[in-house]
Amino acid sequence: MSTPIVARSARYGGGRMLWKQLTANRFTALAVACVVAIVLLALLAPWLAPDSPTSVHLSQRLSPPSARHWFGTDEVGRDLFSRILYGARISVGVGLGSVLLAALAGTLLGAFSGYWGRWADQGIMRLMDILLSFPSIVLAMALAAALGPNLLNAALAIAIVKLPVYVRLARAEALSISRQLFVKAARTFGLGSGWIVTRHIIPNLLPPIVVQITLDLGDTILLIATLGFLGLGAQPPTPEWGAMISVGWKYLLDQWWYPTLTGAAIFITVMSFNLLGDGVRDLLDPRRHEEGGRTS
Amino acid sequence: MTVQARDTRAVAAAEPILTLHQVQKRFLVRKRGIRVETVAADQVSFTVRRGEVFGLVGESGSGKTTLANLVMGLEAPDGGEISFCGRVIASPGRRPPFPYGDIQMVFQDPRSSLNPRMRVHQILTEPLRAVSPERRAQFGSEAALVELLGQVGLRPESLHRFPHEFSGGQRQRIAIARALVTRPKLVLLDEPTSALDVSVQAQVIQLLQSLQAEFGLTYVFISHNMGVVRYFCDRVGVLYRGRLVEVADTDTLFSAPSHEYTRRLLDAVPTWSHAGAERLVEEAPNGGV
Ligand SMILES: Nc1ncnc2c1ncn2[C@@H]1O[C@H](COP(=O)(O)OP(=O)(O)OP(=O)(O)O)[C@@H](O)[C@H]1O
Ligand SMILES: [Mg+2]
Repeated sequence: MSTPIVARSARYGGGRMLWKQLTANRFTALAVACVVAIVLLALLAPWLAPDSPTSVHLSQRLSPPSARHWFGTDEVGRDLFSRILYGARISVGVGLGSVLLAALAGTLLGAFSGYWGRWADQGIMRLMDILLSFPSIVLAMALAAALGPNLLNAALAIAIVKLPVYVRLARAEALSISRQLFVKAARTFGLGSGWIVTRHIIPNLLPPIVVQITLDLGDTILLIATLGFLGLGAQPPTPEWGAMISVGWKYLLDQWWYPTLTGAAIFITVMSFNLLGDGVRDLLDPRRHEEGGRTS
Repeated sequence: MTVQARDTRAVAAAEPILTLHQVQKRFLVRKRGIRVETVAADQVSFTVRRGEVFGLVGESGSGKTTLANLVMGLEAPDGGEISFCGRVIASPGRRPPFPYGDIQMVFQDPRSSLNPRMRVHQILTEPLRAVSPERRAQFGSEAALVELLGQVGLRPESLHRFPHEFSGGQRQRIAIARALVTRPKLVLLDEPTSALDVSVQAQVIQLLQSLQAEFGLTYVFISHNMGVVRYFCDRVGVLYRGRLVEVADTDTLFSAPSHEYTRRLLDAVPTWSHAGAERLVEEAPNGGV
């Protein structure tokens, strides 16, 4: 009942209002705290890390957690805590970059598709249907393998995998916004479709796009780690979490801390971003909120 | 007051500003796989003279908005020709150049016709993007916009607000200001008051009347509301299923309707007598909406 008001104030209201409502839910508040902490750790990694993430100390290989090496060391004696901190930079940075790339390209494509209609729309949407017909992990693997296994290509592959969601979302919104009279008015002024799409349509479809971005972050970070684990993403000695586990899982029985702590970093990060995404969605999208049957 | 207003406008002899000549428009729609053809404009011909208020009436779906869209260049006609100030602006096939800025339109619902993400300043300057740089500089300055806002009864600080901060009537004033910012010669008003409260409707009509004199405008006024049409318009065209069945001076149309459909249209709205419309306008408070 109160959701439309919430949604409206979040659409038009200031950031402070949004912040207050976001932290009202206990889980979301926890997620916000975790995400803020992870982002801070990632940003401050060069100052917080006790050691370089790539400096090898063969004499100290596979040492257990200690005062000197909080999380122990890996198979060539690199400080695991430092590597996990730097890994946060990669996961959060590349994850965000990849999702933002998909959102930017998808929003533009979808908005033009919805506004133009006809053959351009048909063409773009059929292309997206093809992309959507593959399981996302399979498509990401195939694209990453085809582009060549490195971190940048993995990010690009994930952006392509995530693209159709944004195109569909933006197109659906653009279709309904195009029917509004302000779009018709802009056409009577003699303004071109580039102006109309970027000034009238896209600004009005941003709220659901922002929700989708927060929803996709956790999944994207997991996909990057997965590609890294499969050898299709970041390559050693890059301190990328997935790549670290691909080596570290062999030591699960005797040097449990190595894969376990790295895995925990992935788990906590993905979990925090997913919870944040759910919280933002519940706030900005009253329809899905009601379907979920949750009241807060 | 109405009689006086109409007498001072000696429009009968004025030159034509807008001419529709046998304008034809069909829409093909698929209904459950079957192609259905709607004739939204069927051989429509009429002339609007400089300085008059030309009413277009007809039931829902009779093709009023379609005619406005054709004049605005939003749709291309399937047949016939539309001329503005002696120049062809719409014909089937090749698109003639459109005189952007010289013809503007005010829409039915100001909640939908103003982009919620734009400030009034942006909204008002948008139509100037397609006119000459001189015209843009002259009418797009902050001072000129503030003056225009004053002319439609809005405060200068409105310039930096968003549409949702205004009432329905005020929003329609913004939409009217936007239509006038390019100083058009012709303004199409597509049911400009039907989404507004009754008390506000009269104020908007009065505003349109005073602006007409101030800016030297010609109006095409589309409406369902026969009372307002009788009060506001000099001549009226009656549309029925895409065909213009009658064009007459307002007084003639209301006192001696010649077409059967016009008679039915007038009978259908007994509550909106001429006296009723005038009372409505006179009773309305004079302050801002
Ligand atoms: N883009 C379109 N596609 C298909 N049919 C259309 C389109 N635009 C209008 N029509 C049809 O043309 C006819 C005339 O519509 P129009 O909107 O001009 O009527 P109107 O007189 O403005 O009605 P109202 O008073 O409800 O606004 C209707 O039957 C309508 O369904
Ligand atoms: Mg209409």
